[in-house]
Amino acid sequence: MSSAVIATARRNRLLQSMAEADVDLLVVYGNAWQGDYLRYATDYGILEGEGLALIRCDGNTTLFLDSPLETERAAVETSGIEIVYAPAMLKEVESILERSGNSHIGTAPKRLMPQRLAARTKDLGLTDSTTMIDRLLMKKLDCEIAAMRAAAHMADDGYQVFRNAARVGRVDYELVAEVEGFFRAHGVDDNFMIIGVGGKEVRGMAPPMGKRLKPGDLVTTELTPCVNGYYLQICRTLVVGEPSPAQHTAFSIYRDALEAGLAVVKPGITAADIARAENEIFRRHGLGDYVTDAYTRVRGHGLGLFVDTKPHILEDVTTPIESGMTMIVHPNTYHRDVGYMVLGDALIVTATGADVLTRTPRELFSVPAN
Amino acid sequence: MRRGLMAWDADEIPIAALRQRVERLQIAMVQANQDAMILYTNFVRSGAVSYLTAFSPYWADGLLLVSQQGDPVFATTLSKRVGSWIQSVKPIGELINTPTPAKALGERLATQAKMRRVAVLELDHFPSGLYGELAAALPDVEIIDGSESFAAARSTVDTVERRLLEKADAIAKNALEHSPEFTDVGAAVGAVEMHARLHGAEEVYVAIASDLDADRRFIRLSGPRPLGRRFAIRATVAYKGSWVRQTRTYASNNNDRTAIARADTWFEALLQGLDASRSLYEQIGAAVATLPDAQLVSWIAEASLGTNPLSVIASSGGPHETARRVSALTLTVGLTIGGMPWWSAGLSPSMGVRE
Repeated sequence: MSSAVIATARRNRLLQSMAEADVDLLVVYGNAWQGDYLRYATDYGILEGEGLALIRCDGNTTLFLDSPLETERAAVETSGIEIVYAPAMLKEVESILERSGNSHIGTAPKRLMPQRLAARTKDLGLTDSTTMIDRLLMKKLDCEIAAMRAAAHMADDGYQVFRNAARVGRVDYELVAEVEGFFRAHGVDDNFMIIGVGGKEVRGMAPPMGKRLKPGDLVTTELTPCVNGYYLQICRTLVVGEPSPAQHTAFSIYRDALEAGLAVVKPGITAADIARAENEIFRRHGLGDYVTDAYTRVRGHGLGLFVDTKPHILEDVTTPIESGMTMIVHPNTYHRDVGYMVLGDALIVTATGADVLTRTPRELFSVPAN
Repeated sequence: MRRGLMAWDADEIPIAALRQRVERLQIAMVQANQDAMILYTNFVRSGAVSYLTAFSPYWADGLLLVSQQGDPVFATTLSKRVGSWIQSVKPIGELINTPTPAKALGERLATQAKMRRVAVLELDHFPSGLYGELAAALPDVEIIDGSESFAAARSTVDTVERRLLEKADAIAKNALEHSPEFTDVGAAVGAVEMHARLHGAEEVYVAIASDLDADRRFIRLSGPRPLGRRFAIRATVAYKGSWVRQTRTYASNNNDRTAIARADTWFEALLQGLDASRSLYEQIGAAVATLPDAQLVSWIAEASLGTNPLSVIASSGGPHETARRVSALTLTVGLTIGGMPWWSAGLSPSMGVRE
């Protein structure tokens, strides 16, 4: 399904939500880090600078960009919206808002809205529409889910490229380079990826630091290819050489935790229920300390137009799980005997449970040490 | 999302060089009567904090607090778990991991005597959620824009930055050498991206005008799609926080290749000869007049000014400013040469106010 078809479906849904919330004009901010709100409204995947979109209740949409290169690209890559190069973007948008009379104006996302506009909240009557769009971002349309299925294939294929690239003597950023080259060649415009290389001294994943792979290293990664704007993640661990008995034993806990998390996924539970199912497995093995924030950030998270969208899978997050949500369950954390391990699969929440999208076996992979 | 090499090397970016940059900013702050400055960063707006600390977030965001004396303090929403990694690639100053970085820095400033004016770099663009935290922690402090002070401190290119820019430029040039023989968009852009990353690029944005005769605009394109007989690729490359653009035009026809090579040589001479004190508009116009059959389509001059790694300082569409106040300049020029579309971009080695 083309990006334009998905964009039209999203825009219709957004306009319906605006009507229900009595919003006449919606102001949406985005940059390449937090670009999901902007992408939802305009279908533009911004890279450099910042963008603001004005979405009117009749569907008329204007995208303001402060980079001429981005403006040129947006004019080609989007359809049905007006694109404006605005070096003084905030001043231009502020001026439009001042002329918008008695319109009900919503804004999103709240935390990142530029201060110049937020400072006018009272006198321009701006209201926060972040929650309204968050809901749209979490619960996907069928056409959005189709895009995520396509991205899942690329995640599996990308991990195969990663495994093939991993060998003794290679530097961590060379593995990333090969994956990125593969993704661009095969229609993936963007990717989020971090990596860990080493033994018990490694406490998590980060961008590559120039570490050279050596026998016995655990090599962890999460790959998140983006197809038509939708990010889909997979997490796997490999060992350089034959895994040790301790590494095998540790990995089996992660596999059990992932499967326990996946098993409880269904509409009506909460994000906390999934996290608790994963964490109980670790607690049962005396590893309860390692599911705290000293060792792990989240036990999974939503996926979609943002890599790390809501809901976050944590034992204190009570967001209800609904059919049509897409997420990854990943019990990634440190293990006291072997170091940091990761394992995660992406899924769609269906009426009957988790429809797991990634197909790579849940194995502790190994690559030859010589 | 940053996913290239992120590592700090004391030989490439000595701590002393970072301290000199911070001191230049502190001098500008004192002159502007600013007691402290807050600088925002995320991986899109990484320019200012990276210049002062060598650190760019690969994800999330953060704030750098520069007081009138001493090392800066960095507060970030990146989690505690990656704290040791951050400190390994951010060699200067204290680190605070917190979900509320502006609150943490504001509360720290509130404890300091005589704290009256806090400057925020690019205050208009500052995320309002962070502004709310900062203002709540500093109810009796005036919060003002600090962009002029930062610009004053940023307008000098030091030896360290020059070397990093040259390295970024070399990575981009090398990567673009790997695409001329392809007939497929995905293979061409994939090769550029892969080779840039293999040579240590921290970030790479590849854009392509895949059929220049049909449309000379650059877009993000990937996958197995046909290439036209003339195409151009732009590689925007970061190395250790320093950003450049390189653009190359390619053709399948030998006559076109000869014309492209002649234009590339002309462009290299233009880059070498640019004079920071003179109008770019006039210099580019005069140079185009010396290239046979060439017509100027457009040009853009970019430099690192504030939080954005590359900002437009002048262009064919205006403003027509000189480059006196920028540290280093990337120039993009589009021509039509005897009916053939042509693009190039590169780093001008002659620009910038030296130490």
